[in-house]
Amino acid sequence: MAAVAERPKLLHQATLVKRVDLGHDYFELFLNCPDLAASMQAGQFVNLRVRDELLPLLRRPFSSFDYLKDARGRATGISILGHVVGQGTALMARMAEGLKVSLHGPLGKPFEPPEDPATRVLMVGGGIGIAPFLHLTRQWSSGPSKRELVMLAGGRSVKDLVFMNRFNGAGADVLLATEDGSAGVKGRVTVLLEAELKALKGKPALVLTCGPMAMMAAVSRICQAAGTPCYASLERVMGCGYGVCNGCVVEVDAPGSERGYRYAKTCVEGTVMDCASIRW
Amino acid sequence: MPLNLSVKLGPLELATPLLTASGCAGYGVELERYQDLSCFGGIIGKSISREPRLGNPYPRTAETPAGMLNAIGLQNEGYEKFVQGTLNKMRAFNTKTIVNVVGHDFEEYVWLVERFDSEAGIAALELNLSCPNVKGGMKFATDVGECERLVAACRAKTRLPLIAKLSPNVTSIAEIAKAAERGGADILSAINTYVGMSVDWRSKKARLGNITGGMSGPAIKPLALRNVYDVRRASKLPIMAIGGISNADDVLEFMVVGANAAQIGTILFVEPDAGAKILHDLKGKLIDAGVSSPAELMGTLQGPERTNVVA
Repeated sequence: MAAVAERPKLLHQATLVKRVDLGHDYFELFLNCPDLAASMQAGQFVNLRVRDELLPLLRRPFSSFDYLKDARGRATGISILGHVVGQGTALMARMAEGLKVSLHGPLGKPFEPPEDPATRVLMVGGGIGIAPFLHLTRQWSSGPSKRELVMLAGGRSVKDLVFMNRFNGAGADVLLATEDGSAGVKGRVTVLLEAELKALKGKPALVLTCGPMAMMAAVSRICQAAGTPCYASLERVMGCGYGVCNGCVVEVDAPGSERGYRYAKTCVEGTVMDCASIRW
Repeated sequence: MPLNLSVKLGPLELATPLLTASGCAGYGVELERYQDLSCFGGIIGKSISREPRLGNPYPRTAETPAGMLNAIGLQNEGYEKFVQGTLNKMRAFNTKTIVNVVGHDFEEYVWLVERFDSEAGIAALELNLSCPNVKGGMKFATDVGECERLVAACRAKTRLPLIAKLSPNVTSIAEIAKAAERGGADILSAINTYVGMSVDWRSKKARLGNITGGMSGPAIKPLALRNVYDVRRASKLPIMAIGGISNADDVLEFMVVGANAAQIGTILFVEPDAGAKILHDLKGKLIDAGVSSPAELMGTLQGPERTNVVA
């Protein structure tokens, strides 16, 4: 039947080729999965089944962190950055190399490059929310999407930034901010953002952000005041990840509707969304 | 012996005994990317109300051991938009379309049933008697008189097969099942979700914006089995089982206690192609067991008198 030929491949059996413990409960899983990698864009996510059992039940959503290629430049897989926060991530942090892992994806909408090649792209990430920006840096640091890239990375302390050395040589300028001053400037990442926006002096810029909601809300406010376009990759509690459960919603403006807003499913309308439309 | 997977539930004939549970499959559109929808005897869409509904504030889902809670709040586009757009997509599927309806009140249910009765391409209507996540959403599922009155009023407005979806949040599901039967339901579906809660004691906050929500998933399967067993003993009507069904063995267990068909829900969040997988496994298990039709298994639970008791 015609419908079968059009069906995209979204369920994959990846192989865990390497697991790296990064310290302070962070880990990176290197997953071999050429089909998935070939179509995965930065900002999209995969929904990972922790094991072939009913406990834990739901898949866990992860951005692609690194984009893996072989010596000839062909896509071989992705890596994901994990932080142990509960049962699922605790199991993942102990996954054995060689394990087959079911991945659902790529899901969601990716970051879109700004049309003007002179645009300075400011990536503002907090903690594990920094993950999609390594893939983005790989994607936008060469070729037709090449843009000037600045990574502004924030955390409470250096312990939240143990993976930042993965950006070495990737193609973005990296600036750090920690609330306790243990790495980079002391303070919140928004301090770095405000300084960068001031230094633009009329140069076009685009801000992309991912991290805790409160941080992204602050980034959105600053960008709105500066008149700089801003897109956020939202992390919400998800049920399905592909649009059927209606769980992962965010309030967005809906001019003309009875209450002026509606609930948008971040898994299909996002996770990358225009900050100006979101009711923070 | 050729395997015949079709099942007959009173006036409703289905090519396979699998359906999607309302609220867990959208309107089937997303599922088509993962399987040929002919693996399902029917697609039951998310509840449709007369007016669009915004739904509940975030967070709307919380995972629990082998299950989850949800409090979506019946977010839907409303009758008008559904009929103009989404329903046409459902009609084009290679399976039957079943519309689930929900009302704030008696009049809204009856209004919806009357409207859908005149729409082509609908195989049956399911009444969501029992959404636990909206105010006043429970009375038709918990009060025997209200249940019978509502089903009877809906019955009077349609000749389509009418399915009454029962709630487990009652003292006796058997009494509600009988009330729905008296009201004129053709089929009973059991069960909707159990009302539950999840709390973070450190923040002292409920994990759902609505505080309470509906519990679903494998964790409730034993509870659902007991409810379906009770409904079977109380009523002769065909039953669609719902409640944590995640694989072919689960489907067969529900058939043994008395179900005629099975709706799958939460497992679709985990495995979007669960319909095709479960149907494939179901065929294999029936053939291995020498059973030529799922109907043969229906209500074959053996009583305790058949167990071997050493005197």
